[in-house]
Amino acid sequence: MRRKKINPWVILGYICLVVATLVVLFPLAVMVSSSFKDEMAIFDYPIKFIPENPILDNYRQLGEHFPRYIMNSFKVTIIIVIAQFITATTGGYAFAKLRWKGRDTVFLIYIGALMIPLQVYIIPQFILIRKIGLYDSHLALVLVSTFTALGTFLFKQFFMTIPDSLIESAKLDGATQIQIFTRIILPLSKPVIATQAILSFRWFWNDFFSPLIYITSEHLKTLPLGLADFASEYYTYYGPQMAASVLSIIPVMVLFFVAQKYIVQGIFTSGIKG
Amino acid sequence: MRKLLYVFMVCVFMVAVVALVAGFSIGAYAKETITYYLWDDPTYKNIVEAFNASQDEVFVDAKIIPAADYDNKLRTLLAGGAEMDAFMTKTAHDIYPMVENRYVEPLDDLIVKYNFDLSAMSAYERVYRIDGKVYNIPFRGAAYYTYYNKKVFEKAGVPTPDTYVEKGEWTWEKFVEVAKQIATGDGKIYGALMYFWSLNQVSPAIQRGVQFITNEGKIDIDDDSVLYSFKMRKELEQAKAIIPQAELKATKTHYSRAFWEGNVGMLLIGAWFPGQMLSARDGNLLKDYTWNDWALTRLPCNEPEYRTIDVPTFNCVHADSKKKDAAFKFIAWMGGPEGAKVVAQNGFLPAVVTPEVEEAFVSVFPDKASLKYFLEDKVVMPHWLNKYGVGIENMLGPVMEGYLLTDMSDDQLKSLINEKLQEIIEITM
Amino acid sequence: MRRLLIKHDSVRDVLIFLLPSFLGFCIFILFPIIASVGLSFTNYRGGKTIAFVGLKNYLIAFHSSGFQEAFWVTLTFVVFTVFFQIVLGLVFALILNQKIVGRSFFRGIIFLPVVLSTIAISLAFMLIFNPQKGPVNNFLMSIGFDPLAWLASPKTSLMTVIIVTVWRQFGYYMVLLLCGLQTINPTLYEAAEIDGADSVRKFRHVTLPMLTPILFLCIILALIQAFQVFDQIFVLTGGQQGGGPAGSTTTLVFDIYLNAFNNWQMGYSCAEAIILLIIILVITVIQYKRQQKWVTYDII
Repeated sequence: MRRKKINPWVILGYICLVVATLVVLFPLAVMVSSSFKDEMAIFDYPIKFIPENPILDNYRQLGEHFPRYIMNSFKVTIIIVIAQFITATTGGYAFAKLRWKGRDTVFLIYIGALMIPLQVYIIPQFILIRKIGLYDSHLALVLVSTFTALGTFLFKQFFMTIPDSLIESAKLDGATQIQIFTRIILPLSKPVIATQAILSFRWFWNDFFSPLIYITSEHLKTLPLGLADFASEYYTYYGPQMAASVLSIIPVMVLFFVAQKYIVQGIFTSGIKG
Repeated sequence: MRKLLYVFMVCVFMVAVVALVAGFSIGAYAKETITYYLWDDPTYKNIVEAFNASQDEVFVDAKIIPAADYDNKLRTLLAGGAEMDAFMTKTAHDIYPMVENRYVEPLDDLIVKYNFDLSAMSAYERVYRIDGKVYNIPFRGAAYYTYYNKKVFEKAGVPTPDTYVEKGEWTWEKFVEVAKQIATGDGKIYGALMYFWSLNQVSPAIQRGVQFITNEGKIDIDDDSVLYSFKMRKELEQAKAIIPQAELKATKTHYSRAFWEGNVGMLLIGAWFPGQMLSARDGNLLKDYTWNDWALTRLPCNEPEYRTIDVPTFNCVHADSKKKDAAFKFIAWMGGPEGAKVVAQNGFLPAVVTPEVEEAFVSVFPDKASLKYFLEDKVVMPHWLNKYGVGIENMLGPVMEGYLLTDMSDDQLKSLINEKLQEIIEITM
Repeated sequence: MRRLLIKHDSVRDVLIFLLPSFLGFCIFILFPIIASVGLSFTNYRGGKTIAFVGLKNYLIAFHSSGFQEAFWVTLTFVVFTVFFQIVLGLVFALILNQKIVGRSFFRGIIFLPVVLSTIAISLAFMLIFNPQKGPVNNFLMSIGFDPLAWLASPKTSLMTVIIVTVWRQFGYYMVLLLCGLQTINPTLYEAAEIDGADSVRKFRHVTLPMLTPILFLCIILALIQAFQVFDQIFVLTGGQQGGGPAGSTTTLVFDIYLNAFNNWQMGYSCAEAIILLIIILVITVIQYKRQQKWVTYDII
């Protein structure tokens, strides 16, 4: 009978993983449990993760505005994801498969722009939005968010892996570029499209800076902005803040657990090919 | 089945048409609606509602923004060209960049047209008259007071501030002494709360009349009251006699909430605070003390003649508004005698004090002495009312924080302030 | 002589595909970037007047103590954030690369913070790090340590923001590095074993070199992300009240935001933004040049 030697490194590894799990879950657990406690109980130490006297009042206080914020976030995010799908796939295709003068230079500009923080050019962008009269509108958010180069980059990388021969033979059959694109390329890209959609959704659902600058009307606020403003009203207590935070993270958490495979896959693809 | 669907859709259509028509007809009787921006002090909502109820021509659509974000949001709104007819200004010296950027409408013609009596608030002329024109109408008077919690003083066995005021002894040194006496030193009971706005950082210097940067762009801090302001706050924070400023910011604690907790002896804040105390009374938010246990008296002052600090709060008409007349009617009401009465009933000092205002105030204060101090004639020192104001305002907080939390010699502090002021002068072109 | 036939696609086709994304990109991203440069030479304050002032904004920025402080804060923040994100990411990627029970569970949990709203988690951390009543300080006191001021003191506030940022992001780099690990050709390990290498040597001579391309990518990504951090700073350190205690958490992007939307100084803010841009470009170019020295690309 052979006794397997237990590698001490493996034990250490498990310990690290458990510690990491606790560190990750701790703030989230505090958030969730505090959302059901009244102010006095929130700061009780040692922490009772299961509240003794759970209350729903914190959530009740959100009823006035938060459903609106959630609707707005859904609306804006979904529109952006769809718009991005259109621009990123077409753009990616133009860079990957079409041949034209200056293509690589322009692509370099795209990549360059990716590295530039939004705060660097927010002021002129703001002035532009103001000039076309779109300040304080969802359209403004859509316009400034849709055209970031990340989606285009990912699709370009992916499309480059599709063999040229496929396209050549379709051309020989008399297909136009548009037909090639819609009938061959897109169907092949389904997993990448799904991944991109999920990553985009996550990103824009959590986007705070653009709404901060472009939205003020109460009825237009998206969830992150609504949450931040809610937290700074001066009579707000911690309980409702935590309840609101929980509401913010639920949709993405659900999305994450359902689509974990895609998200990881997407990061993998973008990373390796980068 | 199909027929039912048709019937249903016709009904829906009819309802929609009726609603539309009804909407239009209501619209026909509608008053002129103006968009008005303000922050979320609950008493302001009452004032807007009172105006809307008092007449039929103008309807004010109040857009409320949380106080902590107000300055930033308003500035962004103005820069963004958002549609608005009138707005409240939280920081008085903002009027300078606003005038320069042409966001605000000069009101001289409208004042003549509607016969508005500006003379009643001539004390605030420096605030509303810029470059010879009137750009805003103050509605809230300016003054800082010492609010105090009698129960806390009782428990500490210390005489209340008004006793010192009556003896003419209520100086800043006395204030520090009293705060230390009350405080337990471990954060359970604090002697006082001095908020972290810039005017609270250097109150003694403002009373002295120190300009920091003069209108001509020269640095003016050559007075010991400036250094004294910094040292005083440091002494108080180190003795745990006042709530540490960094903590107030980190926990986003509002001064009203802190005072309602019942563990703070004194609060140095402005003339709108009785209104917040009213809200606390109505909402049952006072801890360990009741409505009758608070009072107010004068601000600590080292000057031979009593002076308090602050600038009035005012309303402006937006330069791009298409309803300037309606907007003006509203802000004129709010700043005039009728508005003043409602303002008083809601617990803060209006820009004009008429006999009716005094009467309205009686129910706002727990005792006559407080009312007396609130309404007495006094000199009010404004702070950095010029185009450098924004820079000075934003600079003092971090400098104070740096001073409080590190070891800086007097000379280092002075040269730091000098350096920062110099930068402000350069950047404000 | 060989004739190279480069066939370009028709203009119409190219435009159909290129225009949707490129037009929007030009209007809303490229044009503002260029305009930022232009605005940085003016004294624009958000209103209806504007005047050219040449290099004045840049000169002011260079000897402004506010700008210098923001610069050092940013540098500190970026260095520590990138370092910890990559190191922690690498450590956990290595751990998860072993045959671990529940590997996808752990991977999922550690990655979870990456998808959550920065605002929500910042609020949760504010509660946790509350200096008087928060659980972290209570815990420290119960085991005999002094409580820390966390966000309330300039000495610890930046550290707290770094902790929150690393907490949120290291899972992302862990996943990237894990994928990198999994693409290393196993025959390399076999070959090393045949040569008698133990785990440490395998790591040093197979794993690490093969990982360098992905590591390089991670560093670049982390650098770019770190320069852009905004949300946490805004929520954790009182957004409208001008940044952390004594400006100790005001990074360059935050200073740009404050100057533009809090101080009416849009021209000056653009100058700061351009300086930041140059810094980022320089760092990125340096990294690219240096990669030849330490990044090994696929030999097999």
